[in-house]
Amino acid sequence: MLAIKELTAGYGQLRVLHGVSMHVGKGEAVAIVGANGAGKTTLVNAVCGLGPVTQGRVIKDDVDLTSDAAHRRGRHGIAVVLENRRLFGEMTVQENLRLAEEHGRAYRSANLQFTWQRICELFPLIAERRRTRIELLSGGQQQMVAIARALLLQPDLLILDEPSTGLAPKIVKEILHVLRGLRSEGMGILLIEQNVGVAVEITDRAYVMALGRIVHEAAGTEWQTFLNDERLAAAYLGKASAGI
Amino acid sequence: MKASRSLVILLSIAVCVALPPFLPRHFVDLLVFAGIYTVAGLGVGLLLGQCGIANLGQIVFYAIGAYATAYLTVYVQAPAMVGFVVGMLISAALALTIGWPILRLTGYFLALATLAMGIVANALFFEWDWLTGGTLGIGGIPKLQIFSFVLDTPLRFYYLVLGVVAICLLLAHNLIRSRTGLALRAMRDSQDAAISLAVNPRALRTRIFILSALLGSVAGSLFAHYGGFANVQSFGIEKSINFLLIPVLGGATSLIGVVVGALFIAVVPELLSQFGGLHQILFGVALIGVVVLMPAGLTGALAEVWRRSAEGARP
Repeated sequence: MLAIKELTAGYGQLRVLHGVSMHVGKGEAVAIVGANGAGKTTLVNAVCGLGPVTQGRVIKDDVDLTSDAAHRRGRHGIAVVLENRRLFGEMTVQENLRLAEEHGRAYRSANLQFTWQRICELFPLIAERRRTRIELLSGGQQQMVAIARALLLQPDLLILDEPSTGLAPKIVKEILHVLRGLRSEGMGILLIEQNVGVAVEITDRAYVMALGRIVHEAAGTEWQTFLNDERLAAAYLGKASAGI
Repeated sequence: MKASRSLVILLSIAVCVALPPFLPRHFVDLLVFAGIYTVAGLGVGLLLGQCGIANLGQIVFYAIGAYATAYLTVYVQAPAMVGFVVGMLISAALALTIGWPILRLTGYFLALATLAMGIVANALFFEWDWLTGGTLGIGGIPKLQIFSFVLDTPLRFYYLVLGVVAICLLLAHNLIRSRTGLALRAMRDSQDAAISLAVNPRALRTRIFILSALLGSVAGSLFAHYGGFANVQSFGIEKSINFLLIPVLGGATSLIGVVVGALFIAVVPELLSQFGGLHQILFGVALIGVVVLMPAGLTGALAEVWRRSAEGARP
């Protein structure tokens, strides 16, 4: 579904990614974990077209998107929940969702997977607080609006950049529950997480990033028990993340 | 709050309609200019307030409107409407051609690019005297007339300009509330998020740039008909700066701010002219005073006073 080949990216003279290759299969849930500064967000930006790419390719469903402008990537079924949510703070919940809803409808006129009704079932708070300004919502509620906004673009691949940061464990659980549901319906998920404990819960496979490279790939039991392997966790994630 | 706001708007409209016949001719003349500046300044204001773009090149489109009207009505003796329409077409085409490449720039670089556009255009207006009449300009532009009613006094022209201003403000109001307006707000708030939701920032900014050019051109055509001439001295860089000052002084995100800013630009220098040689310095001081003391512009400051007094009135 998504294939990233030998991706090199950076800002000016600074190279952040050094030939990163990875893939997400159809309906697969994959995590990218790694310490701060590993280049996870730069990778997300490159996939979404929001950051510069110097070399390599981003391919979605056999279409090369590398030179496609960022605003056109939604057409190919990619939607992203950016780091820190990036909601439009002065707008209401409903206004935040409107652009995504209209563009999503334009992409998939025939069968809408995520109708307004479906979104409200997934996140009941959206129906209750549709006229509330984003600034007045809690962090967890905001994260739900951000996910709803991405889903309204009708993607088949959902990219989430650090969705659990700063949220209470109870809220994280709720969000994971929704993501698990989406996954079981065949949604591809690429989850960028510093918190391995969260990532393990809904992904089958993970890439470990350090200093702009993919240094390890873990799947199956190795991934499920990743945190138990102190050597691995400490080596790649630093002591702080390993001790969650 | 909402009802009192509608009341203020209604009262203002009533004053704008009913008061001018009782004002001296000279003052009505200033109001006509304030109206023309409102139309041109509205374009600059939409760019500044909605897209965060400082446009120092509005004079180009103002001049194109004026020259199109002058050339077509004087040399070709075409009806006035042809001058307006041709000016708008040329302005839109030019805004698209120049806007598409330069609107990938941001901040100071973009402002400088628009300034350069104004300087180059001014030199061309001067050089292309076969078209613009050079320093002599083109005179004898006929007065506008609606059917057989000739708009030959400031007061008559004033009502036409008032109508044009009202239509432009209404259109801008609708634009801000439309899907385009929503995308503009989204872009201001978080550009990356807006892009990831399929908003194309460059296309959006180009559209507003073209709209701004259209407004500049209409204002220029109105100016040509009102003054009866178009020459290169009227289209200098300082006029572009004035057009940018209009939303800056009035308040960039408010439509009423544009009207207030245009009134300031048209009326204050005249009021100060009684101080002789000092008037330019005093105008400069007034500008600095507004910008420093009222960072949200005159309307922003008024809204703040209003809000405070409303809070104070509450027990």
